[in-house]
Formats: sequence, C-alpha cells, structure tokens
Amino acid sequence: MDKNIGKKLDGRYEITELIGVGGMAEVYKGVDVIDNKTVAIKILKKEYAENEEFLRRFRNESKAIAVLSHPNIVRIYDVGFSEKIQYIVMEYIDGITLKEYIEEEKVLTWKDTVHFVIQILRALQHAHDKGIVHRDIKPQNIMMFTDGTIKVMDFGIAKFAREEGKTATDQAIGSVHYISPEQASGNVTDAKSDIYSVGAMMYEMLTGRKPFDSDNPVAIAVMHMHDIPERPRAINPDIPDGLEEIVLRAMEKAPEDRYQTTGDMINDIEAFKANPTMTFGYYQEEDDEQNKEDTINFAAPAAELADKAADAEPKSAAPVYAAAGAAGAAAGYAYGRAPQGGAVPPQRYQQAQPQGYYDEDDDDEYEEEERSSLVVPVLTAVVVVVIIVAVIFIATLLSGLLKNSGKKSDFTMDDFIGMDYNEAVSKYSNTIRFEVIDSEYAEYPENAIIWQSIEEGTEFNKGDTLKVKISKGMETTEVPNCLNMNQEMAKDQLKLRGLDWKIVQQSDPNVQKNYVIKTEPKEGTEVHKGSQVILYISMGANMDQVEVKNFVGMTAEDAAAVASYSGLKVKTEPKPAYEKEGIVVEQSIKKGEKVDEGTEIILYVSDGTDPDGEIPFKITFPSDARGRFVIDYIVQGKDGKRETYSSSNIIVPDYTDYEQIIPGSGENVLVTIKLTNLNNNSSATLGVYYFNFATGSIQVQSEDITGAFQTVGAFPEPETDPPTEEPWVDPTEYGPGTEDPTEPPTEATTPYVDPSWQPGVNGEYDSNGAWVPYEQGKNGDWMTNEDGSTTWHWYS
Amino acid sequence: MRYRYGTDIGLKREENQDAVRCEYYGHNVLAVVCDGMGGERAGKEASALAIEEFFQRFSAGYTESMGDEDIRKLLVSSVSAANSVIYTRARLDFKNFGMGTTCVAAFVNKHSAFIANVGDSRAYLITDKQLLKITTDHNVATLLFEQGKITEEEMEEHPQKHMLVRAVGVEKTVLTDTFILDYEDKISLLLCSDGLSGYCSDDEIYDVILNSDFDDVADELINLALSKGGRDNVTVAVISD
Repeated sequence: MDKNIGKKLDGRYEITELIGVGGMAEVYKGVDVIDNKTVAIKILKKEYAENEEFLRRFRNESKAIAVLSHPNIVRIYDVGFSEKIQYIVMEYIDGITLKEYIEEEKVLTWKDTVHFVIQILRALQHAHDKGIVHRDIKPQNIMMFTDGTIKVMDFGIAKFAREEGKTATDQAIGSVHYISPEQASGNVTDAKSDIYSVGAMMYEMLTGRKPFDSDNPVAIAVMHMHDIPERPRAINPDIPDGLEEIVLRAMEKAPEDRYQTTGDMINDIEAFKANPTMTFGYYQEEDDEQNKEDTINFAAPAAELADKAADAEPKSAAPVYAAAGAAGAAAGYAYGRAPQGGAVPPQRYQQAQPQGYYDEDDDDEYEEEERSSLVVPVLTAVVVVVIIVAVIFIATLLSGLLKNSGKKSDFTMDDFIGMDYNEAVSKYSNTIRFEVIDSEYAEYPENAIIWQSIEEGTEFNKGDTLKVKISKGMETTEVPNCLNMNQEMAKDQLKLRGLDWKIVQQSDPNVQKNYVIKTEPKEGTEVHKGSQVILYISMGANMDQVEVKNFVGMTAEDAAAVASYSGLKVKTEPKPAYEKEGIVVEQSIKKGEKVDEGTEIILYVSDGTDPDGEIPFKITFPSDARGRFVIDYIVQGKDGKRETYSSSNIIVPDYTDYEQIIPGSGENVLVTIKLTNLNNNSSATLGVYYFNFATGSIQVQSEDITGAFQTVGAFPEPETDPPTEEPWVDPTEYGPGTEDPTEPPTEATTPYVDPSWQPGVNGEYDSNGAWVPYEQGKNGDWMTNEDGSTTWHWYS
Repeated sequence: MRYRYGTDIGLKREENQDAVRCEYYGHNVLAVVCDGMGGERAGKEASALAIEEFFQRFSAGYTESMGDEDIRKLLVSSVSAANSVIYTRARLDFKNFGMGTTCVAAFVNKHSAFIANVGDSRAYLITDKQLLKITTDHNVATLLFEQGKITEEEMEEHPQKHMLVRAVGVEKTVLTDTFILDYEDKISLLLCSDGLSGYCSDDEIYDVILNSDFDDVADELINLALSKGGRDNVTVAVISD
C-alpha cells in the first residue's frame, strides 16, 4: 500500500489511487473535495525532493503549464511546494497515451494521423507563442480521449525559449527516439526542435516504425544527428506523397530547412487535407540530382559514421540501414542511398552489446512502468546526463573521423565569403552547385556570400551542392522618437533599434534638464543598424539676458520660433480675439524688457472666436411713470441665437433708473430691449441697438422710452401730466466709442419723424447736427397715430 | 591633441571671406572658423575681426582651473565680444551695412569638447563609424525644416539655404548655441565653413578623412571641395587626439 494513498493534501486533494510512476514523480488519481472533481496529482519522489536540480525541473513544469491554456494541453489546477511535499494538481484524463494507441493499431491511417498531429501542433503553437518549447515530444506524452481529442502533457523539461544560457541538463534530454539533431548534439533547441519530434512521431504513426531504432540510445541519438531515415512510402506505400513530404520536411536535419513554425506545418497539413493528392514539390530538386554522378549524399557518411561508431564503441551501431531496399532507392528522394548499394536491410542494428555506462534502463522499458497514466516518463537524471555526455563525446569523435574519411575527391573548396554570389556562380558553376538557403543582413555588400556549408580547404566532388547564405546588405532602421524623453529612456529607444549614440549637452530653455532636445539625424530618418545618433541633452537654460521682442501680430508658429531662438521659454495660450486665428494678440512680457534666458513668456494667440464682453446699459425712467416693471434685454448673436437677460422687478418711481450689465460677444450684435408692465402684463419695445462688445460701444437704432412706458400704460394721467421733466438720454452716455454718434438716427435731419421708423428718442438732431430735445408744448407735441402709437411733431 | 587647418578662396570667388585659427592653451586646443558676409571687403573684415576679438577675449578670460560651465560661458562671451566689435564697426560706416560673420568655435580639453556656434558653419564629431553633425545651421531653410514646414530634401535645395537667421555682428546682441560633448579616450572634431559642407555629403567628407594622413587632412578636404566646383570659399579645421 502506497503511503500516500488516503492522504489529503492541503486539506483539499484526497489521494485515492496510484496511476503511474515516472522517473522522478508518482502520479495519483485524487479528488478535489472542494470542487468535487477527479484530479491527477503528481508528487515529486521523496528521494528527489532534496535535489535542487529536480526541484527546479519539477517547478519548471508547473511554471510552464501555468502560463498555458489550451484545449489540447493538459490543464494545471494547483501546485503545492512545501518543505515536506511537492505536488502539481492537474486535469485527470481518462484515456490512453498515443504510444499505447500506436502499439495497438501498429499503423495509423493517414486520416487519424493528421487528426492527431494537427491537435498536437496547435498545442505546441500555443506553447511556442508563449515562448515555451516542450523539448520532450513523444507518443507517451500525448494523451488521447476515446473521442480522439488529444492532450499534450509533461512539460517537465520544457524550456522558456527566452531564457538565456544553458545548463548541462538543459542540453540533451528527451526521449532519444524523437530527439532532434540539435538536441542530440547538445546545441541550442528551439520551437523547431519540437517540430522535428512531431515529424518523428508522424513517421512512426504512418509507418509503424520509429525513424531510427537501436538497443543503444546513443546510437539512436547519433542517427538523428547524421542519418537519413528510410523513406516512409518505402515502408508504407499507402502514405500519400504530400503527407510524406510534410513528414520529411518536419524532420530535416538543419532546423532552418524545417517548417519554421508550427503554423507553417499546420498550413501544409490543412492544404493536404483539402486535397490529399497534392504534392508540395519540396524535394523536386533532389529528384533532379538523383541522376547526377556524385550527388552529395548524407546516407554515405551516415553509413561510414555508423561504421566508425562501431569502431569507436566496441561493436556499436552496425551499418545503418543504408539504401532502404529497392523501393527506396528507386524513389526520387536522395535519402537512404548508400554507395554500398543497399545490401544491408534497413532497421537493423545488429550490435547489441550494452555499454558499460549504460544500464538496461532503456527508454522504452522505462516507459513501460508508467502504464496507462498521464504520467511523466522522465529519464532519471543520471541516465540523462550520461547520455548527453556520451552523445556529445561520440558525436565529436565521429565528426572528426568523418572529416578524414578518405573518399576520393575532385576539388578543394575555395573561400567564397565576401564574394558576390552572381560572380561566384558564373565562375564556379561548372564544378559547384550553389544553393542559397538564406539571406541575412550583414556588413557585407548586398548579395555577397556570407556563409558556406563546406569550409574552405575541404575536399569536395564535382557537382556537390554548396549551401550558401547571402547578405541582404546592411540592415536599416529608423531613428526613433526620443524628444522630451530623459536621457536613459532615449538610450533605451536607440538600443532597441540597434543604434549607437553620442551625447551632446546643449542649453535649452524649453526642454527640462537631462531631457532630449533633439536627435541628429532626426526622428524617422532611415539609418544603418549600428550607426550613431547624437542625443542633444538639455542642460537647462543659460542665465544670459534676453531682450524681449514684439511678437504681437506674428503668427503663433513664427513667434514661438523666434522667441525660443532668442532664449525664451514659450508658452502659448489661446484667446478669443477679433484678429485672425493663430495670430499673437498679446504677450505676457512687454517688448524691450530684459529678462533672464529661459524666462517664460506667454503668447496669447487668437483662437478665432469672438471674445466675451459686457456692456452696462442704463435706462432712466420717465419721472411720472408708475408701476412694477420688468425689462428684458434680448441679445441676438451672430449665429442667430437669442439670449434674453431680464431685470429684477422694478418699482417706479422707487427706482428712477436701472442699469443692467449685458454680456455677449461680437462687434455688431442686435439688442432689443422690451418693457413689460407687471400690473397689466402689456409689453412694448423700448429700444433697438447694435452693441459692439469688442469696443464696449453702442449704436442706437431706435429708442423711445417714454413711448414704451406710455404704451404699457405706465402713466396714470398721460394727457394732464406729460413727461416734460423727463430727462432725455444722451446717446453719448453709452460710451464715447460709439461708432458714429452723428449717424443715428439718420432721419434726424428732418423734423418729421417717420411713423414707420420706431418713434424717436427724447430729442433729435437738427439739420446742423445739434441735438434738440423734445419739449412738449414748447417746440412740438406728441400725436397719437391710428395704430395707437405716438409720434413727435415739431411745431413749425 | 593635434590640429590641422586650412582655408582656400575656391575657384569662383574674388575674395576669401573665411577665416580660421587654432591655438593651444596648454594641452588644450581652441579652434575657430568664421565665414564673413557683406560686400566691399566687409565680409572679409568681419570674419577677421571676429577671430581676432574671439581669441583676445578667450585668452583674457581663460585659466587652467576653469570648470565646464565657466568654459562654456567664456565661449559665449567671446562670441558676444566679437559681435559687439563688428556691430559697432558696421554702424560707423554705411559701406559696412550687412556686415557680419558666422562663427563656430571648439575648445577641447582632455575630457570634453565645448562648441559654440552662430550661423551656418558647422562642427562635426568624427567617430569610428561616421560623421555626426553637432551644430544646427541658423538659416531660413533649417528653421523651416525644424518647424516641419519643409522636408529634408527641400531644405537641401531651399533658395534661402544661405540666408542666415542669426549671425555675429548684425544685431546688438547675439544668441550663441553651445554644446558640450564628454568623451573618454579619443575625440576628433571637424569645423568647416559651408564651402565644404554645402557642396559635399557627409559620407564624402568622412571618406576623405578616413583615407588621409592627419598631416594632409585639411588639404585633402579643401581638395574635395574644389573637386566639387569650389564655388565658395572653403575652410576647415580638424582637431584630434
């Protein structure tokens, strides 16, 4: 009985049964008593709980899955890292592993294969997008539900792709059957390593065989590094051509030759699904090459390498399946063709002598332990490290041997680095086939060769392919915006673009000390990566004296430029003004004043709107008027909007006059003043005026105060008590700024007052321009018109 | 610290209105390039006066123990002194109407370069990668460019490219741009009049500097300007350590 069964972790997860044992952890089925659901609980084995490296990896897994959330990735619910026990609570999956499924089915149909692989790729795509590389993709890490849904699990050795640096154990762990060449050789792994493993799994699903097999995991790893697996269609001719191409491309030795992203691979699979008879033509070139004499051939070194391996390691890997039978050789793929000519049957690694440092603890056997669990089959660290060391050691040894492997060669490779590609092709096309595999930005001129796959001085055969990378020239970038950033931020901006900088300090009143005034070259300029940009950093203002100039009347832009040129700190503020929009109408420091450099000057700039103004308006009442009144001031703006201001109640004769301040804006605003008698609610127009809020002046269009009071019945005995004493309102009282006091009323030159013209003021201008007040009974009298209004008639 | 300088009338002008001088102050170097303007010998007189007055004022104010800010201020007041002298001279004689000069000055000590500038002569930093312009030209085209009203290409071709918005001796006072550039191991500066920078690209200038012996660098740069037609007086000063 397991000591853990029956335990409750954290008071929440009750452990019910052991469902699997992995290298460093045990996996239990359990119940989350709070949510009442079945969970899987992975508990780090006691013996490893004190090992830093294991702890790190165990926690790494939880860290990795915790950032993942995808229907095809096993979910993680909880983690517990206490001193006593380390566990991860995960989704419980009632299913089998893909490994078990393959064992049952032997060979999967291409439809099933595609169905599973797409799900795996989607899961990986999600992980890769989050910067996580799984690094241990193999069938035993893929769980399947009965409905065919796939879940990827065991991110135990997943790597955060952006983490820098490698540790020994980071290098070459993972199941050797699906291990990518770069992982096997201890090189840096990335998302493309997962793609290789998926390809290897696909290979197995479609053919029923692992791409490489041996009793010796080291031999397997070496084969992944150097050998070409047998062509899938040679094993299973039912595999469609297009799908085979996908597998081969995923399994390319060089990461740069593979699908670069899971997305690329998914696209091809989707395209294939849509049309299973299609082919991609990825290996067309090799077809052609097939006919040439000394086609470069990876199988050849592979076979030799295996021989050497056998020598190096007592009776190790036997001749690797060279020419994969007649079918393979006939097929148009360069693969699997060995010079020896296919005498050796494929998939035979006859040697079987276990290595001294290598136990019986074979990968497969080891996985057997886990049975139908979602468990993590992890090689024990010891084995892993041994394998790494062995693999790297052997690989190094072999590549050394390989170099001297005495094949008869025709030529010695020249140095092409720096040579123009076209020139190289025209000069050497007789002996070398050039293949451009990539182009990169480099210091070399555009199209120059910057990398060659065969080193200078190496012997090669006529017609061999030399892979080259060519230069795209110097990479350019734009100078980023650095203005008004502090020095450090600006440097970061430049660093991000791969630019270098020089700091120049400059005094500037407008930019805060230590902030960037400008750059040279300017923002947005296209420059070569690595080139230098001057950051002008403000030292703040000088303490020099500046004589302030006149800015009024200039455009805001010009004024600001001139002002800042002369060392002032400029602030502009919009202001309603009658000047054109954008013109400086006022400056906070007068022209000619001397101030310290860096002093702030405010430039008020017209915003084109009329400024608000207000004009006080005083009405003197006829002395004999009586009653309670309200006066309304109706202001009609430019846009036709009316604004009415009303007086408070005015009791006459308690008030002898009334002044109202009228707000408004504009130069020619019509204001109508209306009198209302509150006793009888009758109203009359008292006057009509044009207000100029810009100057504060008023132009009278018409006015009859007495008449208005009369109309509203404000005189108890109008006949017997005419308003002789009534003070007339001097039009000049409205302000000396009245546009043209002689103009209104224009009709005043004639003694006759036109009734159609709103009857008069309390006097009129005579023909000489002199003001003559109405003096009832003396120089004229009021006559009532037919409409009830009154008109002044002069005595002749 | 070493320097080389030279000036040439060019191929088209009848008079060289440029002036240049470099001097040691201990181990430190002061270099000044002026490009005069105004007819009837006024331009030539302006640039000569400016250099004379500048050095006089600087020498009078300079001490070994000056701090950075003091050096910067001394450069500014030296420009101001030149300004006053030319402004006064111009007012004395109507023939000197419009008399003025550009002035770019660099003082380099063992940790910093101090640069003062009025007008459209230039100071460049010569790095191991390229030529970097330090100063801003005070002409109409540059002003319009900085305001974003014209593009860089339009600025190069602008009819008012040579019309200065700031110069020494034209107004009663002058505003001087100053720059301080700290350096660690090495520094190289180029001062020049627009007879060089106006007709040769930065890359061309940089190429010549890279491919010349230091002793010949001033002559080679002048030759470059002449090879471009020599339409203006050309003056250069190179400081390097």
